[in-house]
Amino acid sequence: MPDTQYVDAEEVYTEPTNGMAVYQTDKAVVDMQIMTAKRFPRNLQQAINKAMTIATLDKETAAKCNYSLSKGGKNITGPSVHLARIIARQYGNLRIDQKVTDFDKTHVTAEAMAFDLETNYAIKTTIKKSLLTREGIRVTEDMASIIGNAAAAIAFRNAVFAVLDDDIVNKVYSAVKKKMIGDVSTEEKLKMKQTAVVDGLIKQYAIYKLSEEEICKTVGKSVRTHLTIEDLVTLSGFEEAIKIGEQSFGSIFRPSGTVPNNQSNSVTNENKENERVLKLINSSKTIEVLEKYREFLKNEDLLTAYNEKYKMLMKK
Amino acid sequence: MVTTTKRFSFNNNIDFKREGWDKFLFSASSLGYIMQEPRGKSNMQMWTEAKEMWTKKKSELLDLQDAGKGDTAKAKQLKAMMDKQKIKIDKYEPVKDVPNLSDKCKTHLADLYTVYTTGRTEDIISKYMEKGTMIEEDIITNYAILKQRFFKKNIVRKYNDFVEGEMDFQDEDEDMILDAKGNWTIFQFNRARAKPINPLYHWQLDCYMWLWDKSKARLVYGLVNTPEKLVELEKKKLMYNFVGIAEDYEAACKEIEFLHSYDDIPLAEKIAIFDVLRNDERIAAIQQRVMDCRYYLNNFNNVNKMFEDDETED
Repeated sequence: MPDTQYVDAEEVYTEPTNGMAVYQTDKAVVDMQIMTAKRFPRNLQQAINKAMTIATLDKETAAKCNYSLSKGGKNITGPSVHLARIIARQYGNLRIDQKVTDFDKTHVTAEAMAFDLETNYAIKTTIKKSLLTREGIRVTEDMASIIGNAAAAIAFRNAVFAVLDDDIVNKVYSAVKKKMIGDVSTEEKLKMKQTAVVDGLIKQYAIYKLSEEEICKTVGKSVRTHLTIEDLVTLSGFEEAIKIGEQSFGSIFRPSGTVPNNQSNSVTNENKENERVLKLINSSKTIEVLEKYREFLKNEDLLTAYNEKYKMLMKK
Repeated sequence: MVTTTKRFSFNNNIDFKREGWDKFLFSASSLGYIMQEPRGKSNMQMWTEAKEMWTKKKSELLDLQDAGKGDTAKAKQLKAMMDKQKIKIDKYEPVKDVPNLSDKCKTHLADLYTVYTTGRTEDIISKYMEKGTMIEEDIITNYAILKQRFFKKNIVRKYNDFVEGEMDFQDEDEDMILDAKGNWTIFQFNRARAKPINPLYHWQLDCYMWLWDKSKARLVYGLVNTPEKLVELEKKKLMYNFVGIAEDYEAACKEIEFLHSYDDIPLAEKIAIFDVLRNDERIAAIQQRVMDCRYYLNNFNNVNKMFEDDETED
């Protein structure tokens, strides 16, 4: 029986499997890959060193290698999909498949299989993600495929990290965390880092009017000066999780009280708002009315429409 | 229609079966169901009336006894009446605190109980609700064009100790909450605007005014074209049931398209508004009803026993 965990709307199955059983259809190819793998076995130390070098190339890359999630009131921080890709590439002799296996009315299911060709050890992971918005309405087809891809990426990460030895992942991940936070050896430096992370988040999510109190509360602290190195890693990971669509801003920073829509809704809302502004521009009968919409010109199309309408009204 | 589709809610992470229902938050859209007034008298009213009647008869009996008329026919009649009231008192005593709720409310609570204790939901997104959700933004746009001002769709959900909800948009200049509602066709639209505000929506607006601390709210009914996808569905339905020649079917499809398209109607005639003012008595009534409903949900498994002698419901 697969080991089953339920994490909010996601269903996660991870099961050890026989690699060959999964590849019945292209057995000949797999046989060839296994033979090649046996002939050219990986250099473990070299693989770890290369993965560490790439993952800690700069702070931005390191930040991408970490993710944090807020689930059921608990924060989970860990190595990200990006880091899984880096390690898998350098580790070598792995065959990895990821695919979306099913879309139904309410969920998308994705699975990934990581197969260590040298040891004939394979892991298959399954991820199920909800396709419903908070109103219980199914997201659009475009958004469904984005969610499907995100689910497949998570399944990929879980499969890779399940097939690799924990110590290898931890070694690279520790270097990532160190790179992300930088030098915090003195109180002064830690304080600067705390300010940089908190102010960075406030700026990043200015549209939601995210406050310092909300940021600190997420990691169980009341003020920025109480944030530890682990907290800073977690907060940086939250930013990444929101960016890749693994979690919404609301589920992390406003799990109760006041929650903005999830990402899919935000995208839809923005499109609808732009559409509204365009209609308002086109319906304007005077320059005075038109000028009221100037502050809402968020993209080139709106700006062009505005200018054209302005010229037209001037001619009149 | 009772909506039991489980949506995002602050209730979602609570195990009500284990923790009880004292923290359950009722959504703004469900208030209309629970706020419907029950028929008949409450258990408490029945118990109080029986007790008052018993006390009155007892006093009359004592007066008779003091006058030496304790064995008269009238005294016997009073005793019989007291016995009758005593039976009523005994009957309502154990259930006098059980709130009196309407059938509609009880049905809604039963559905909530099922959803939140078993995780099962009923997929009953009807064509009306689907259109309503799909065109919400379009109604806001039409309203914005009519008012010649930009309005932003609200993305914030709020809660207090009793309720939760998410209003559609707000007019900051007028300090007012607005809720957009769509209609399936022009027939429903005109029927809706010809009548006073739907009580279901009125309670919803009460809830939003409470959550956002506003003194005014506006219900905006909007008539917009039915999304093409839904029109096509209507045509398909017609095709399954259609008996006739192809030309007739095409003509019927044209009629469906015309029924669902309103480009020929001036914008001002496609918006209907209902304004309501904050009423703290209604808000207090919501608080009381929420507490009653929580009591009902907490005793859900014994609820039949508690209500088996309840004669207040029709």
